[in-house]
Amino acid sequence: METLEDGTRVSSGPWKEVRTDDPRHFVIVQPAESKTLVYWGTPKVKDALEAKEWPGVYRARNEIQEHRFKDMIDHGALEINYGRQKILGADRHHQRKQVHLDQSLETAHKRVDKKAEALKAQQDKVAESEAKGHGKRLEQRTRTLLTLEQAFKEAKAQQAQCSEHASTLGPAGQRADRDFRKQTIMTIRTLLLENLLRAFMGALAATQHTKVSLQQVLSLLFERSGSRMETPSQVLYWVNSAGLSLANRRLLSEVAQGFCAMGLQEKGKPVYVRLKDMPP
Amino acid sequence: MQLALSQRNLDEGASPAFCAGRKLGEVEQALLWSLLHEDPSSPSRVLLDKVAHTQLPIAVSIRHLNRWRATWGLNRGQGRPHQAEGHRPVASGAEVVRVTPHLSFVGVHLFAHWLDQQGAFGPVVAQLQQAIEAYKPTHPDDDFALLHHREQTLRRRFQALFFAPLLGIETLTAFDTHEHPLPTLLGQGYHSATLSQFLGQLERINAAEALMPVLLPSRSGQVTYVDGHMIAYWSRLPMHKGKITMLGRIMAGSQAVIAHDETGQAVFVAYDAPDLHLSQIILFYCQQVAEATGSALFVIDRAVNSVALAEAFDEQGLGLLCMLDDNEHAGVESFEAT
Repeated sequence: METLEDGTRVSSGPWKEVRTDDPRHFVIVQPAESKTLVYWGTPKVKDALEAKEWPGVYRARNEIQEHRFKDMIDHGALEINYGRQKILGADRHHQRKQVHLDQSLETAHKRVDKKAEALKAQQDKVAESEAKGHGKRLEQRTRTLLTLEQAFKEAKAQQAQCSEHASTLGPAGQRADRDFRKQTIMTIRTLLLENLLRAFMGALAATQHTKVSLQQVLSLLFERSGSRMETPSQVLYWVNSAGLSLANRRLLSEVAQGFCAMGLQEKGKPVYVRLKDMPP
Repeated sequence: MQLALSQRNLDEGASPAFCAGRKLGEVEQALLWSLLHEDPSSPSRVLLDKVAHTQLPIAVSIRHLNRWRATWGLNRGQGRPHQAEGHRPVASGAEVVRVTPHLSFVGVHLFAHWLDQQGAFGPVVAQLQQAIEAYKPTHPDDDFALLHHREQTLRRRFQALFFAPLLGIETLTAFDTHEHPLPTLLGQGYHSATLSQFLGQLERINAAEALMPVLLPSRSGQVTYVDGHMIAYWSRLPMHKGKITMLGRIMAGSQAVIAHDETGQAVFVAYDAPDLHLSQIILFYCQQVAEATGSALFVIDRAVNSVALAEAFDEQGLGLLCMLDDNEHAGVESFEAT
């Protein structure tokens, strides 16, 4: 057991009760003030990562995937449907119903067999009691026999009902499925955009001290208008800073300086970015 | 005389240094200069009319303008305007300075330059060209525009799709209804019909498969994160259903399963019907990802929390890190913890 800096206790091990069919290894995290969390991994994970690393690696999911999906919905058009084509495929609803009915039918068969067996045993007992001239026991056994006969009838009826359902289900048909090829191409587009935006933010962050988020760059710089001038020696971009608060203006100014420091070139000429208040 | 004067200016090379003054800023000066450079014999009044038609109105008097013309040596002689022979061609003036007074989405333009500098679209175009070349011999009777596109056309059209979300364009039809800066960004504008056709033709050559390697990083990480993302879809056709909406209706849709590496870079995507639970498709998906990236450790949320899947992953030599549900244990007492 290991105690982390924040007081969280991390321990690892298998189930207390031996479960031979379970290959998983567990890491138990007991935070000081909240509920216990249990992570599991296959043997390969156990070999590759130390137990104390597991919670951090799992928690990174949130930033890497959950937040990224939200970002891509916001500025990457992740949640847009492309392509209306449909292709016919197997009717999986029918398949699932068929599987369900098959299972029910099998269970019904088993139940009928079981009830028939119990009925036969009870009939033998009643016959035995009759042969031996039992009085009260014969009465008890006969009563039980009636109950079992009733249960057998019910099981048979249920079996018949399942068979009837199976026969009325009909042959497997076809059902439409979305053709996802266009959607996949456009999602790859979105993922590529997100990857390149992240790489761009990395390059921009390397040129300045103030931390700027992607959302800030998108709203302060990407979506703003401005003007452009190309001279023989340089290319100048002006970003319209009219209407910006002082804080945002300062931030945009730093971003513009960062751009200049990135060494961007257009047609072999250095690109400079400046701020300018332009009339609407 | 005109020619000699203009030629001298051109040989000197260049536009004057524009410094923001009290009345005219750098952009305004550059705009005036470029208009004058195109037609030095134009009267100042006509020039002001031209400026008024641009998206950058300039409040300047004719007298002030004439002073600038004199400073730049672009003033015309007295008398009525006439078509002087031997005027300098427009193109040579355009080489000297070019002004775009109004540019929307400035940052996207800068981002596009950065991408060009990084050669970001080179691999995309190369993969598309490979896919086209692979398609041609297998479908000799097919003949559509994409099969004959030049590299530049492929690049521009893909860029149009690529930049669309940053320009606030989500569906392709919005290219027809929204103002967008594609002409200044790519040098050419596109209508939705062209891009829809392009996307349809990409679909025909199965470009998704060809483009997937573009996502892969140069160095693969140790851990891959996988998660699903469902989108609803309305259709009058009977379709397989999956997502339950806020209205309680069960809708058709799509289920994207997306993989990211540990640095947050998206590396793989596949689509499945929404009625298939993630646990039914995840093993095959992770095998594909492992094959593509070389990374065999996966972190997935509790949608795949089961002993059966742990066994299946282990049998395939894949690692899976997941979480146990709260109702499956009674705290640390359930484990032989050390």
